[in-house]
Amino acid sequence: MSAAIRAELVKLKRPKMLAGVMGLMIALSLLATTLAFALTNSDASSFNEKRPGAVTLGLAELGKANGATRGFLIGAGFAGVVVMVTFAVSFASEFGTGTIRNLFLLDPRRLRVLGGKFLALMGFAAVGFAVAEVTSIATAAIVAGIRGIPMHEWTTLEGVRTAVAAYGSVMVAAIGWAILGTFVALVFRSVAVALAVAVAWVFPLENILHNSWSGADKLFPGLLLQGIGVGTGGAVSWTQAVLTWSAYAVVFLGIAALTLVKRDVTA
Amino acid sequence: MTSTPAILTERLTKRFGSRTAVSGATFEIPRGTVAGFVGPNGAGKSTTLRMLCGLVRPTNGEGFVLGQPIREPHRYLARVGALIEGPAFYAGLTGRENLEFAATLARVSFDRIPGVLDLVGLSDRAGDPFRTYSLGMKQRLAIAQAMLRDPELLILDEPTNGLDPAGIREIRDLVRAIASLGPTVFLSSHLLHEIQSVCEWIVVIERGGLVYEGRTAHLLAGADQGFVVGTDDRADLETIVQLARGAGHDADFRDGRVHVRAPKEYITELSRAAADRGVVLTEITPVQASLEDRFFELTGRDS
Repeated sequence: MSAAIRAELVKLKRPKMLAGVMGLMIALSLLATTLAFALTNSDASSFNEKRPGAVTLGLAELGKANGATRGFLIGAGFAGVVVMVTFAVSFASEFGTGTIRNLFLLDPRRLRVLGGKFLALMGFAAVGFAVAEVTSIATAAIVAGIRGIPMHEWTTLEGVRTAVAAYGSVMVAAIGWAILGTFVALVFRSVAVALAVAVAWVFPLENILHNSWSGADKLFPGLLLQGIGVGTGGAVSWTQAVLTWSAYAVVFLGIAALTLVKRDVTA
Repeated sequence: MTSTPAILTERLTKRFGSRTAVSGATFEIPRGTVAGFVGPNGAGKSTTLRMLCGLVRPTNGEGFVLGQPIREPHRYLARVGALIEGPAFYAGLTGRENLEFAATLARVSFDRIPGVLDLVGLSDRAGDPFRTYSLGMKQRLAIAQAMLRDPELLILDEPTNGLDPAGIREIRDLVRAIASLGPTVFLSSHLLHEIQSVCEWIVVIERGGLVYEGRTAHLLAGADQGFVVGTDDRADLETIVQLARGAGHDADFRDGRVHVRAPKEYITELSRAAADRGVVLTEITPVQASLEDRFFELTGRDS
């Protein structure tokens, strides 16, 4: 699998690609953090139970140990969708452009090839989120200084722990989004169809269903990932959300692997 | 050189639902040959090549590439280079970056890249994005990629598709250059003249089934279409027709000459008989059928 990872890195390490993706992560992080710190006026935070991640942060909350990473978590919530779209496009376009033929001619062990591609992209995302978190914390410090928000708790051991935990939550969610994107790409083998199905399910459909059934956020993959990404788990505990999503991951990856190995490559 | 053929198929069959794309194809390609793969659109050429490359699974039958079963492509693909159904690369990467990607995935040293770029004549444009390449350059890059592993078998599916005459000539010369390096080449094409000029072995399929396999020369020899005889006097041509028909051969007028459908061995007898009648032959030209003629005969299609 290492050859497949290194091959994918040939594409990812190009300056234009690095600048584009890292620039996007930094921009999202800057925007989310600046807005989170600049727009809040009340002391208390409010949490919308029906929309995991829809948190209005209070000034007191921002001054706590986890305050430095709150902006990062909000921004990463949006970036999760970007991850799903990126993986769906990246995998489905291999079929659309016919490059999948090349991949399997160069290495016929299909799971190894696309597994390596998945890991390389995931590694790239991990670096991107690390850059985003560092950017977010730096931005938070600047804006907090301007607004007079205390920062001494950010640098405590608890502050560091929550920063690491925030990164972990975001990465776990990102892996979920990536699996979702890869799953639809390998099953539908078309960028347009994969994106249409994934985006339509995760956003309008899940939210419409959630409006009429409160249990949806304990079960549906998109809502669960939003909860996991912000570190709360949403309507359920973070651990429970991760466990539920692990079952999804097994099913999605199993189906994706089966279709990949068994189906003919006619692209 | 080993005795096993480069490619061997036995009743190879592929069905997509109710449609049979390849029906019991049995043929072999000897090692070291340049072999052509000919058939009309939809005859099953690309599906057959995909099965040989492990991209498509056979429904029935067996196939062997370099002695290994096609159901286990990991056992032989490292020794095969292939261009299947047109060049497919990453548009934003340069030609060289695309080859670096391929070399990495195929576990081939980057040291091979300058050589294959030089072979296909793309060294000067290797730093340009793939999207800026002409179709001919894209085809050549695909052949360069296929040559990265210094393959024992090179499979090229319609490498001249969509090319102008200059591009077709470039690819033909390239195939000849590659063949001189030693690998077996299996080349599918619609351009029968190209196949005839490059390939010493030929496989013809039609509607998924095998029509002919063997030496191109044998196929064309089997299509001996007699010879054309010319004289100075038209009345003498009448004599030639009578002589040929009298000997049991078809003969008719064609463009001021006589076309005699008889084996070459009859030329001596006809010359002698004509001389006995005082007829001087000014021309005797054997008529050789083209691959195109033979193809339409074999496939039962009208040209």
